[in-house]
Parts: sequence; structure tokens; C-alpha cells
Amino acid sequence: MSGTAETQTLLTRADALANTLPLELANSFLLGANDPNSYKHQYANLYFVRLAKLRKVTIERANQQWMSHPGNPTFIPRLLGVVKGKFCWVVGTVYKEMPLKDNVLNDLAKEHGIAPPPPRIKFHSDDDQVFLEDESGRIVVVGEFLKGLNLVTGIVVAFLGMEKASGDFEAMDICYPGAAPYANAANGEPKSMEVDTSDEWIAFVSGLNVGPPSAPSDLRINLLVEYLLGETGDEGDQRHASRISRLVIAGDSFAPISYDDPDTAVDAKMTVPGEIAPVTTKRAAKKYRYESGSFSAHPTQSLSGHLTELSRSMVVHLVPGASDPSGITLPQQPLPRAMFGEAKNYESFHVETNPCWIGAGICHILGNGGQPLDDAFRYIKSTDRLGLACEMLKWRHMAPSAPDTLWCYPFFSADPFIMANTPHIYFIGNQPRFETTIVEQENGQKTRVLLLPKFIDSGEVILVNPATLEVKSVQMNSDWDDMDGL
Amino acid sequence: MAAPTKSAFEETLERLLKEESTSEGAEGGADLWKRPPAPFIDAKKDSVIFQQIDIEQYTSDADRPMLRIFGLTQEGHSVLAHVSGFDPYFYVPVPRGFQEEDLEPFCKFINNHVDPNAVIGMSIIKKKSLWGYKGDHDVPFLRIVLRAPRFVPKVRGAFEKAELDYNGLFHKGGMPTSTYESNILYVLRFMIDTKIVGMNWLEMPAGQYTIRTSKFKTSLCQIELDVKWDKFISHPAEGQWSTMAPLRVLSFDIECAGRKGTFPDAEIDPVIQIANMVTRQGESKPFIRNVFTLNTCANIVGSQVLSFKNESKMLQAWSDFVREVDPDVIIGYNIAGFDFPYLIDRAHALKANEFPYLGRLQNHKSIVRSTHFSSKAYGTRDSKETVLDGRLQLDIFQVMQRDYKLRSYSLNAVCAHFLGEQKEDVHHSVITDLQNGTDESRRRLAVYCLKDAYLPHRLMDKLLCLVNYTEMARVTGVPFNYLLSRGQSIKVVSQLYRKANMENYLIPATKSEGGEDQYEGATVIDPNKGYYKKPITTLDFSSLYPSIMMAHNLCYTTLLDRDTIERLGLVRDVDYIQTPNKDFFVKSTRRKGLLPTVLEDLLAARKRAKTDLKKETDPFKRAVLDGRQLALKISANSVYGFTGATIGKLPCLEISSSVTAYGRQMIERTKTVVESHFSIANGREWDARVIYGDTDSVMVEFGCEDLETAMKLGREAAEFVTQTEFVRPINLEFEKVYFPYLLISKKRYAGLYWTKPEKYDKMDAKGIETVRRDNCRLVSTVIETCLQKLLIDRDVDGAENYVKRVISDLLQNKVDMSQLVITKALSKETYEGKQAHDELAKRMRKRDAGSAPTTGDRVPYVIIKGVKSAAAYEKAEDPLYVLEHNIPIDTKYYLDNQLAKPLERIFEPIMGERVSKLLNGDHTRTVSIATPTTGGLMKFAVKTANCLGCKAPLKATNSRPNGAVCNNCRPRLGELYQKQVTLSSKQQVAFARLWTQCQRCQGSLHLDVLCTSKDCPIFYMRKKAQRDVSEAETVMERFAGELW
Repeated sequence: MSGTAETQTLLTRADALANTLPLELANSFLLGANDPNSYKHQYANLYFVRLAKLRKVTIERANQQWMSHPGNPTFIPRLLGVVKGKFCWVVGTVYKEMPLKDNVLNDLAKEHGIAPPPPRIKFHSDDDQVFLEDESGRIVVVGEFLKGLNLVTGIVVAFLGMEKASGDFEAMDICYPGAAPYANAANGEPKSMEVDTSDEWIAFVSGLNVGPPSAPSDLRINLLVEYLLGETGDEGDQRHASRISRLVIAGDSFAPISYDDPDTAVDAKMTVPGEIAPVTTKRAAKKYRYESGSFSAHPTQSLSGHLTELSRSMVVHLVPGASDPSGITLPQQPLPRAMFGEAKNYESFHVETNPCWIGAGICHILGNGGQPLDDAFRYIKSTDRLGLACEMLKWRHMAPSAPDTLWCYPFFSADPFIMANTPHIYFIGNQPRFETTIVEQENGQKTRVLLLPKFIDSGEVILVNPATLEVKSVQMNSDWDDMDGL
Repeated sequence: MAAPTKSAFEETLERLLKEESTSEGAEGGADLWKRPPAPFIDAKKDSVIFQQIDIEQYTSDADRPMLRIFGLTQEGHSVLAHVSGFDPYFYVPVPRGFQEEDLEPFCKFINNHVDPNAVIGMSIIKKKSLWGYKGDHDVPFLRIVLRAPRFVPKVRGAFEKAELDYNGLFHKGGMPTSTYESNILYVLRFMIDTKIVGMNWLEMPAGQYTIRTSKFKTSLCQIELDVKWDKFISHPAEGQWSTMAPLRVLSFDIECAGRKGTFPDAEIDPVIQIANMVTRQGESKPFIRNVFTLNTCANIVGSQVLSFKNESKMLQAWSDFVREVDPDVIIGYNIAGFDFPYLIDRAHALKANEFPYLGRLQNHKSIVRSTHFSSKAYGTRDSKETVLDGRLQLDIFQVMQRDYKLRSYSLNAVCAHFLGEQKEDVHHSVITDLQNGTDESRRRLAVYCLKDAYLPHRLMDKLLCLVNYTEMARVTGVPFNYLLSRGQSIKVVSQLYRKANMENYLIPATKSEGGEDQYEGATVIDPNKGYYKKPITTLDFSSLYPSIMMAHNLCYTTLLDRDTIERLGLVRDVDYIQTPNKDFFVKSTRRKGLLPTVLEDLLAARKRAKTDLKKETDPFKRAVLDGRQLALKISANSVYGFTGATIGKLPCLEISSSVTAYGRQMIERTKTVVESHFSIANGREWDARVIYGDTDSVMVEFGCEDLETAMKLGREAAEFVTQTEFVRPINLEFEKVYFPYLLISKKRYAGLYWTKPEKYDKMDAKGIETVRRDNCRLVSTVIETCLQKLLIDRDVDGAENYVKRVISDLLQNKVDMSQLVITKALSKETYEGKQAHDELAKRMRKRDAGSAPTTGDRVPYVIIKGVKSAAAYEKAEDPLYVLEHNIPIDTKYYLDNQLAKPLERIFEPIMGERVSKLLNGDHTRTVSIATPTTGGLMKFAVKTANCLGCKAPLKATNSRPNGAVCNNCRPRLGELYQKQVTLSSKQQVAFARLWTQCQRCQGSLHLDVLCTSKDCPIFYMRKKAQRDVSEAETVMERFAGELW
């Protein structure tokens, strides 16, 4: 390392910006904050609330969009009020009937167990059918027009068109709720914009996959930590690193729990009638009690060490992901703070929900561990992940396929996945590769959309300047091939 | 399984609409109610041809017997033909000394004695009695013609009671005079004499009939005509006349708004919806779809909604609808037992007096009758019948009960079984809430109702009920309506009369005695129990009993007694034979029996149908032909049963006992021949061994290891035995090889069934618990899986391990509730003695009268751990209550009373003595019992948390407040946390997958799932998931307060 004492004194760590995130956003994904923690309810409430909240804005926007349409369409407030052959527009929740979609009844019929089948990459097929639904009922939506759209179950939209003799609704145009406005800063008008803080940076990383001890991957994470702490690279690197005031770890910090003991491989037919087997749990064929042999404390200890080091010098946000030990349904609740050794004592260390809102000064960050995008992606024809992420802003919803195919908590009186406010930075963790763009709204609102790569695969950390929304990607594995040889 | 159709029903409705070619029509076919207008018919020039569907008798104004024949023309016009001039008659033997001159005086004598108008004519005719061989001469019979059918029993009774002592001729020594053909129904007599068979085509030739003008019409039929009984043509159902007219089939369902806790009562509870689907026979989609609703109902795409403020008006409108649509066939699910009686009672309660005219006759009220049906083959059943003149009824519920053996006959269960679909089921207490809601909630109800009206139609299509029943009616010659309302014997009677009349025989009217006489049934070669890993070849006698009757000429007409043998000087084995049952029958060289002829015709017709079936490509015609060959097969087999039915019309135990005696002899002979012919002593490679023999088959282990050889030897043996041992047409056939084969006991076995060496056809199991309704589902699941492992995977260890795991899971409370549920119908208001399901129903009524089962419901229950001395009936509990309160299941009951016996049976041939290990080995050591949240000691218990590591109770001294572990286990916290997260995730997934599936099934995202279909495999599972996930979350929270 080339850093000297002198340079180190010069490069002081920039303070994390004061948090201006409204409290209701900050806590919106904590169970118990909005809704009693209970599974008594069914999912219908979630759809009901979602439609109720998004309908109004959709109607407003659709009104504008189609106000001066030459066909002079009328708005039919109830879906079943649609009259045959009359040009109109309607609002409702999209439901896609897809023959390839998992069906638990089929799985049960096959082998008396409801372990879901191995996930397919795409569930899309030509036999998919689109419905629009509201409290009154549902109608089939057809038309060439639909082919160009990415429609996902659970989004709220308006369709312009006409009911044909067959009873199908032929759609000719669509209108989305559109991106929401930014949240008002909680602490009054931000002054920080004028202040020269534009050289602050926030680092994003996802998919650390800390697992059993392994020299190459442990080394790579060490490199990352050293880089973030400014202990590596040349002076330029260090100078840059010292501007990083905040780190967001966007899911999958732990490697998936694997049971690779060959004895425990499950024979599908051995599944006991009615047993509910989870994706990752496999049961021993001849053992009649729980075996603790597969547990290793190493990942937790290793990660805790890194988090402690990092929290000493920057704000750290730990967002859980699919492979982290925090339940499987969304919103995932924070990992127990106490499990991270020393780090738990630092105020700068934050365990977050997934998804979560993070306030960095006037910059509001929203993101998740990647599950909502991964899930929605399976049900559309397009292979453009970034495009899909941008559409979510337009839909004003970050996880529309919950609860249909994305497992989620049965909220009763709220749908926290609605993007009631548009973030400045929208990050999605654990994606196949790094992609980014800026989405600009009609009113000039800008959002930086980040698809974060998996660190374990790419060794990349992404840096964003919250003031300018400028982005840099830094690779940790410049000397990787050599190290691999060690 | 057709996965995509599982979704919303509304979707289907819309698809129907889409496929409708007349795309611009009104919603739900509102403009298609009326039949196409009938053309003008010139009775002098045009003939009228129609398919008759129903025939009934009535009395004309002049007190003469008349018949109404209802039918439909190929163009879809309804027809009613009034037939006159057919007088009932019967025969008595002419006594010695009775002369031609006595005819008129005897006529008067009878009329004086019985009724002045009874007899209208008499003649002497030469015939033979069907019963017994008495020589070849015809003997004189008196044919007595009566004025009306009602006089038949009166006059017959007079003969039987020896009251007609005319000139001392009839009742020598005060003996009754036996009558012939006096106990056949008038309608059937008419059909036999005019050669009409059920559902065949009739032609009224031009000039032979008269058309009734509207002034004289008595029905709603479009064409109404009069014809003499001998002036029309009845076409045999062959060739161009084997088609079907485009019958209009109405399928409907009603919903009632009951009160909480009681079964709907027509005096009080309104009918709120009636959904209807009308289809033309041969088309797959209904052309009329509508629903009549009380109060408003939101629009349903693809269906017409007719809303009414007033219930009486709605019923009236529906009645008008039925008359306007004029269906030929009405189907539904339990319409005979519920829908029709309820509608008629309800209309009566509302004083909707114009309602109950649902038949085709004008001013003819439809009345509900109670019927009692008792048949050896189908069991005893009480039901109701609503006669709708001129319309056929096919209650799919009755069809299911008659023709299929199922675990449950609820519409849900039947649909899951035959259509592979789960049906949303709404509890009747919810129906009232939906009705009292908004037009949206009533729409929701209407969608269920429409679906329930559509499902019977789909079942009928899938199972070809209408087609198969039609073919059965045609083959056996009975009216369609008899097939559901009467037993097997009427079909044989119909065929016997037809044949006998052609051959100049008369059938004696014996009084059924109902004797306890039981003849010896088919014995079997005692099974040599075991699990056979070598191929077991099965040799079958094809149509065994019919072919015995044909081969040995067994019949009423060939039955001999010793007197006749002596009188005619007959020679044994030249003129007659003696059966192994020591009965005598003449050989066919002397007289060909009638039953063998009937059977030959049936089997020849079946052969023809099968040949045609092979050639036919049109799917509908194939279905007809297949239905016919099946009907012919069943008919041929029922002839034997008819002769053995001691409470039947014409029992003859000499025939039936001889048949079974021959059968036994043949099986034994086959065993001897096969074992001696295929032996090492006879130069073969192995000694063949017959390991089991049943009624008409023997199982042979030839000794070879491979299928090809087993099949080759099977063919050879079948041919050898047939050629050398038996009289034609008895035929031993090689049919299949079981490989491997598990022989448990008499009539209980299972095997993998091969007819070709490349691939097995199926897994075959006989007499093994799979559908018994008093078993829980776990039994059949376990047995099926075991058989699969033993037979298909040939994995004995795997099967054993599987059983051990299931038992272990059962003892640890891990088996899904739906697997443990036992159901029983609550059939009576009060039971004598205490019965588990009845006691439970009473308890449930105390808890919540609204959702408790009422009479007619099936009560599902599980057996719970009770107090030590608790009686069995006290241990039944509502599965939902058990789930909610975490009540421990009596796993021992399930192990000992449900699983043990079937498992022992299966595994005993394999494991021998070791079988007991299966039920009490190591795997039964870990037991976990749920902690109930209600009852008994729980009132006094203080709930303490246990350490998740060592299960020690957590106290302030050994742990953190609300913590997860005790201080000693704290080092394991990470591991325990991970374990809990895994468990919790598993529960979350189960919850999410199950509840979203229910949403998809009900076809709505925005409405709560209301379905309570207890037959659905996920019903209890989703309830349990709800509970489990909450519990797992609570445990998860304890980690938040921990020190790491």
C-alpha cells in the first residue's frame, strides 16, 4: 500500500449527509409499522389497496392522455359497465393467465409434495392471456397492440379500446400511473445542493456471497474492503475512495446455504404425503431427527469482521437478499443486528429491510435485493432487464408480481411496494451484469437506475454521486488471474 | 391433466361466446329459445320420421288404452304421436275339454265374475311354454284380450286364486291356474309387439296418420298426430337409423338462501338463482346460457342475466323458459333429489300456481313422488322422482352413484376425478351473505351457479352418459327412463320376451318367492400367496358364463326332468346331458335353447360393433359404437345373473348353478392340463404352476424369467387347452402377464399388467384399499405409493423405507390434515346409539350453528387423542377446529385402525414374519404431540417458552427476556437461527403458494377466497400454512432480543 501518514491526514472522510428521508418512507417495509404482523388475511386486500391507491392517478393521467382523442372515448368507472362496441377506456389490475406458470395443485397431484419445480428462466408463452380486473370482475384484453407491451400481473393500468362482439376488449392504447413525484425532504428545504458536497460518493455492491472459507473469494472481498477504506491503490484511488461516505450492500451477502452431502439428496418420490418442502431444504432419507452438521459459523464471522471495519469509517447499509437468512417473503426483515459482532455497536451500521428506502442527504435511494425484477422478468417476453426496471417507475410499483408469483407478506391496509415517491437512485441487486441509465420525467425529475452486478461474479463496486447522479464502476479484480493462481 | 383450464370459469364462458359462429347473436343465446318453426305437413303426402324418446300410456275419453310417443325429428321439431288400438292381453293354458264354443260363454263368465267390461275377446292359439322341455309339440293357449291394462291384474288374480271354475274345467282340485305373460308392463308389451326399442326411429308413413290441429292439441309439441298401433314402421337401430336426433339438453342448477344452521326449507327459504345451459346433442358447447336471479346482478360476459324483484315472478319466468326452450333431456346434479322437488315445493309455498307445468302436456301438473329403488346390483336407495311428461331426465348424480365407485360423490370430488379440476365450493351459509350483498356479490354467486349448471353437462360429455345409455336402451329394448329407475332384470325380460315371441314361446308369470336359496358361487383355486418376481401369465375364459350357456345349451326351454326323460325315452349324452350340478338339459340337436340364441345374437352384434369401431373414424360415431359394444357385453353377462336372481322375474337355479359348476370344473381342469402339459416330465424346461384361479381366469407361473417367453407359452397354453378340452364357443385366451405380481389373498392382488413385452399397460390392483370411503386418504396414498414402488420400481427396500417414513411422520404430526380426514354422511336427523359423526355434528352446532353440518351433508372428521377412557365417538373432531386449536391427533388410531391391516396384508407375502417390524421399529420412537390451546388442563397451564436448542424451559435466570435460547445454548445461536429461518421460509412459501393458487382458481384477485371445498387437496393445507407461518414468525422474533 502506498498511502503515507501525510496523505492520510489530508484525506479526511466526508461526513455522511444529513438524512432528509421522511419517516413514513424510512419505515415503510418494517412489518408491524404499517400492519399488524399477521397471516390471518388473504392477498385480496393487497390488490384492493393497490388498485384503490393507483386508480386515481391513473385516471388523471389517462384523462389528459385521451382527452382530445378523436374517437371521443368515455371513461367507464366499473369494468363490467363496458358496453359492446362503444369506444371507451377503463382502469384495472392486470392479470396474466399463463399456462406455464407454476401450479401447486399440479405439483400436489404429481407427488404429494409442494416443493416448487426448478425455476424456469421464462414462463412466457404464446398462449398467455391478459385480463383486466377490478372489484366488479374481469375482462379479457386482446389486440395486436398488447404485443409490444411488457405486462406483468399486478400492475394497474388504463386501457383505451372497445368491447368486441365476442366480449373481448380490444385495446388500442395504454396509460400507466406514471412516476410519482420526489418525496418532500423531511428537514425543510435542502440547502446542501448549493454547498460543495458534489464530490460525495455512495458505493453500491451486491452478491458478496460470503460462504465457506475459500482463498480467492475471501481475498477479493478483502480487496474491496481495503479499497473502500482507501488502503489500496495509488493516491488517486485513495483520494477517490476517501469521498465514499456510504456503502449499500444490496443483498446476497451470504452464499446460499448448501447441503451437498450426497446422503441427503432427496428422492422426489420419498416426499411424504402432504409435506410442504421448501426450495432449499432437503431431508435425509433415513434420519429421523434434525442434523446440525451442515452449519458453519465462518460466513457470519467473516462478514461481521468486514462490516466492523467498514462501519468505523463510513455509513453501511446491509440489505438482505434471497440467499440471506431472513425469511423468504418480501419485504424481507432486517437481519438481526446482534449477529454481526462488533459492527452492531456502530451507529453507522444499518440493517435494512428489503426493499428499503435510504436517505442520503437530499438524495433518496430506493432499492431491493433483486427478487422483484427477477420474478417479473420471467413473465415477460422481453429480455431487457434495465428496460423492465425503468418500467417499474412508470408503473409506480416496484414489485407488481407480488403476491401472485413473488412471495410476499399478506398486507391488509397498505401496499408498501407502491412507489408513492420516486427515488433519486433506484438500485436493484444481484443482476447478471451492471447496467445503468437515467430516467427523466416530463417535469425534469431524474432517477438514476442501477442494476448491480453480483460481486462474486464480476468483482465490481458501483459508485454514484448523489448530487450529480454520476456513476463509476470500479473493478476489484485487476490482478485477479494472478491471485487465482495462488 | 389440462392445466390451463383450471383457471377462471368466466374465461370459459367467454371462450364459448367467442366460438359461437353466429357472432352477432344476443348475449347468452337469448334469441335462440324457440325451436325452429315446424313446416307444414301434408298427412297424405309426407311421412313423419322421428326418434322416439319416451312412451307412456293413458286412457282415452272412451276409456280405451292409448299411448303417447314423444320424439324429435332430424330437423329438431318435437313430435307427439297418439297411438290407439293396442289392447292388453295374456295367456292361460287351454284346459282339457275346453272347446272353441266355450270362448264366448267363458268371456261372459269372466266379465260377470270380475268386471262387466274386462274381457273384450278371446282366442285359442298354439304355443309352447318357455319353461322346460316337454317335447316338440305346440299346445293350445287361451289368449285373453282385455279392455284396459288395469284389468290385467284383476283377471290374472282371479285365475291365480282359482275363482274361475268355468264348467269345472280350470281349477282341477281347487288348484290355481297359472297364467302366461300377464306380468309385463303395458308399455313394454306394446314396444315388444311393435318391435320398438328404446330411443329408436319411427316412421309414420304418408296416409296412415292424421295431424292434430292446434285446437285438438294436448301438448306443447310442434307436431301432434294420431296413428293406429299397427300402422307405423319401427326402424331397428342399425345403419342409417343408428343416429341421434339433435336433442335439446337442458342442464340447470338452483341456489337457495338458507338460514344459518339449517338445511334450506322450501316453506321458508327462497330460491335466489337458477342457472341454465342448453346444448344440442352432438354439439359440445351450449347455445343458451343464462341465469335467473332474484334481485339485481351485474353483467356476466357470455351469459344472459334475467333479474327479478319478486321470487314468484322469477320461478314463473323460469317455468316459461323451460316450456319455450322445450328441452328433450334435462340434466343436472342431484336434480331429482333436490332441485326439482325444491322448486315445486317452493312454488307451492309462494302460491305460484302456474309454475309446476314443466312437462310437454298442456295443463298437466308436474308432481314429485318418492321412490324406493332396490336392486341387487345397485343397492337400495330412496329418492324422489318428478315426472315431466315427454322429457327425459338424466341426473348425473344418480349416474355416478350407479356406474362408478368413488370416495365421494360431491360435485367437487366427481369433477376432480373425471375432469381433473378443482371446483370452487362456497358454504351455504356464505350464499345468503352474497345474496344480501350488492349486485357484484350476487354476480359472484351467479358465476358459481352457472358453473354448477355447466359441469353436469361436461361430465355427461366426457363420460358419454347420454350416448351409452341410448345404446343400452336400444340393445336391450327398454325405454331410456327405465335405465336409471329400474334394475338389471327388466333389460333381460325385454330381450327374453322379444326372442320368445319370435320363437313361439310363452313366458310363465311366476310369482317371485324371494327364497333364501343360495347356490354355490364361483370357487377359486386357493391362492398361493407371495410376491412373484417371475412373470405370471393370466389365461382368461372370454365371456365365460355366456359361453358355458351356449356350449351346453342351458336354457329354460331345454331344462329336463326325469319324468320327461322317461316319457320320451331320451338317451343320455345323445339327447340330453347332465351338468356337474346334476341337472338335465336337452342337447341342441333336439332343441336349440332360447337363451343361447339370445346370447349368440348379443355376442355376434358385439363382434360387429367392434369390427365397425375399428373402421370408423368419426369420433362421435366411434363413441356410439363403443357404447354399443359395451352395452352388449353387459347385457350378455346379465343373462346369467337373471337366471340366478331368486327375487327376480324368472329365476331358474338349475341354469345358474349349472353354469357356475361348469365354471369351477373348467378352472380345475385347466389347472391340471396346464401343469401336466407344461412340465419337465413332458419335456419342458420348467414345471408350470398354477398359483391362483378366480371365476374366469387362472394365473400360471410357467417358470421362465422373461416376458416374451411367458407370453409365448401363454398363447400356446390357451390354444392347447381350448382345442383339447372344451366345447365351442368356450374359449380360453391369453390376455396378459403380471410381472411382478403380488398375491395377497382370494380376490386381493396387484401386479404390473403387460400385454406386449415393450411397455407395461398399467398397474392393476384388485380388492386393495384404495377407494373405501371409511378410510382416510392416507391409506390409499400409502398403499398406492407402496404398490408403485414394489411393482414399478421393484424396490422392496424403498417401499419399506417409505412406509417407515410415513409412520414416523405420522407419529411426529407431520402428515397433512387432508390425508387424515374421514368423512361420513349425516343421513338422518337422529341416530339410534351414538355415532362419531353425528355426535360431532351436535358439538359443532353448539359452537357455531351457521357452519355446522346439517342433514344431508358429509361430515369430515379426524380422530383426536382423548381422555383414556373416551369412547370412539367422542374422539371425532372437526379438522378445522383441530387445526385452529392445535389438538393432538390420535396417531395410534391411524396406525392401528387405518394403516396396520392394509399394510400387513401387502407386506406379509413379502416380509413374512418380519412384517411387524414395519409397524413398530426404530422409526416409531420419535413422537411429537401438539400442545392444545383449548380444553382440559390447558386452562391451568402457564405457557413458558422453551430453549430452541435444548428445549429447557426459559426462566429469567437462565436466559434473556423473550430470548430464543438458554445461556448454555447461546454459542449455537447462529446455527439455531439458520435452522429457524429455513423453517420459517418453508412456511412462508407454503402460505404464499397455496393462497395465490386459490385466488387463481376463483378467478379474482380483488375478492377474498370463500371456497370451502373440503375435497380439494389444499383446503386443510392452506389453513395449516396460515397457522404454521404465524407460529414460525413468532419464534423468529425471539432472535431479535438475543445476545450474539
